[in-house]
Amino acid sequence: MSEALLEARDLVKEFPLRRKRRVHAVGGVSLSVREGETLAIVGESGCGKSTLGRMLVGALAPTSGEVRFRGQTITGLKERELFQFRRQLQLVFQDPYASLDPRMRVRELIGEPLVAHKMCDSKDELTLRVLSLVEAVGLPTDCLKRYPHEFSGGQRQRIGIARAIALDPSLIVCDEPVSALDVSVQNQILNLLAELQEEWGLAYVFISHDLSVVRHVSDRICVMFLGKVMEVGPTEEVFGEARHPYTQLLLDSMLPLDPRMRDRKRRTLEGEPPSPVDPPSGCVFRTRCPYATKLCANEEPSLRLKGNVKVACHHLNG
Amino acid sequence: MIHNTLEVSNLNTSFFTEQGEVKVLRDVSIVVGEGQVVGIVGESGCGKSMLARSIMGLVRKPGKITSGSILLDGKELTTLSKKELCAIRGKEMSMVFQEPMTSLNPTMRIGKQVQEVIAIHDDLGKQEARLRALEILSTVGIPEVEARYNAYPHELSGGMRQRVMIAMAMVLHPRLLIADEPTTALDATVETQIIDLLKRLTNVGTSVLIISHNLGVIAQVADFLYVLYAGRVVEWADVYELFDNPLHPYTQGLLDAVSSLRSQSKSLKTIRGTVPNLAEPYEGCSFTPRCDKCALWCATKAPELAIVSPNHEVSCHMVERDDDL
Repeated sequence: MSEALLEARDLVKEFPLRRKRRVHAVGGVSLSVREGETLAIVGESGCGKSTLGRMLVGALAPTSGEVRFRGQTITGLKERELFQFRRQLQLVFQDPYASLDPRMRVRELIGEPLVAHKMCDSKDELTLRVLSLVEAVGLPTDCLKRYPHEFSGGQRQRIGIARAIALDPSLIVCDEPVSALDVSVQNQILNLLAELQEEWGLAYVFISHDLSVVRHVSDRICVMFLGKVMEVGPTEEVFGEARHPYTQLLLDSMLPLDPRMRDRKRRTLEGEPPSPVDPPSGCVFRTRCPYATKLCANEEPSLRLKGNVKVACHHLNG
Repeated sequence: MIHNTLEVSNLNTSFFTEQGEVKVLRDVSIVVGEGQVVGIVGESGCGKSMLARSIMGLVRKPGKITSGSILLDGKELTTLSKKELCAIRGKEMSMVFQEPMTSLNPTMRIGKQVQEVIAIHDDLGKQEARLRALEILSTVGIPEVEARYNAYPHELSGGMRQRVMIAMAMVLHPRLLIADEPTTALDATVETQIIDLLKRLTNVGTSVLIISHNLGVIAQVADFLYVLYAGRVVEWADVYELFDNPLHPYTQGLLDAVSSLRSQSKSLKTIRGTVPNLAEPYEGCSFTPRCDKCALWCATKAPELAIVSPNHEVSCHMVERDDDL
């Protein structure tokens, strides 16, 4: 695809353990992000979604595979060569309490990327740009001299977003940006992200475990399980008719907001999730899958196109 | 008439800091009937966890319960000595915390941890205690209990750890289980399992007080629901009534925020502003600065809880006025 802004090919990340054992965090993921779109990555804790997100922006080197940004590879580059790409690829973190230096004032926090990339010639220019960023993310303009601890969680996340957009990037990986926030505040941040996307033409990779959030923000969704992509496709189609058994299960565990639906039958899982140190042979989901057969143990299903959706499962009818 | 397992009336809890008294709970009254599940919702900083800690007698200095009463099966808890409270905690009431990794002892095998609860309260032989522990662990859905009995917490997944916590809380069949955000740290597929487990507990007569900011969880399990804002109960009702007919602007705001996320609307509903700082005294209704429906007097006079229907009370001037018209 020519219009791909960011492309990942067969990304693998393994973390070594003792005695030659390894954590297979991400096991061969290929995906692409288009200009201005939001791609959501969902999956449960330990499925490798954060590791994948970090590799996409070049914050973590893959064990194998490649990431291309506008056709140029960013994998295997030296830090100096990578530096120019960092302006284009930014990260927003989950925990607004832990990701800001508590000893820096807002002015320094938001100005830091501008200074690091030498974007401003004078102090005055820096102040002006910081101020316009502060306004863009909806923080009060008199906040420049305050420290992170003086802000609420939602406002801190706004500071984090201001830092990420400071260099006018093309893509931001948002790693669970609203998971630590209350619903009311969460919606404020989601609205802000949507506004910024429209105004600045940003593309997002939105990592989350919350399906209702994901459904709202994303154009396309990528469902991961144990380091592999199970299903990827347009969000409404995946939500409309989940094809992969794991996606079906995830959708089933979304709790309805209606107390009258509490006795509705749900598909649930028994037993323990498989370990990324010792993943199952064949399909990684098979040990928990109600439809698993011998074929699933012997052969890993590849992603196959069904309509507009790609699904990795042996048991798709039609 | 349903027997009330827990009756909290006009509870006030304060923290005495250098800046003065910070009232974290103000005249909170809640009732939990036998075998019922009662939910507490509100944003962080509204006093949800403080309410749980107050009931458990776990408010630490400089915090203190300043007035009010907590009755567990008719027994007053606020006047008990530390020793008397210890005898009740774990046996008659117990608590499950949000983060199962930090609340289990990492150096102790899980079976031993469950056994310890039994040893403290009951005079059972070692062998019998072990059997009881095994039994409860399998009741909460731990597979291959015999093998897992000797596992350390780090060897278990988050969901399994939370099951161990619930097993420890349930092993002595307490009258009341307080669950403080029991599923917040867990994945969605595990969350539904834990919810089903909590529901099953009520079949044996245990009452559950569940604290959550997740209205989806509450809609699944609770019989009654209390909405806490800035240390006060601003509305309570049976759960169907509250989801159908929320009256307090704060309750409406919370529900709108969640439901707009699930609708196809482009812009999400929010509640502007943030939870007030409880250290700053405020005369009127503490929701006024964030409220779209308030009148002048809302800022000067705090509303009281008023009955709307037999199972529904709300504290809002504007609701009362509607009724008068």
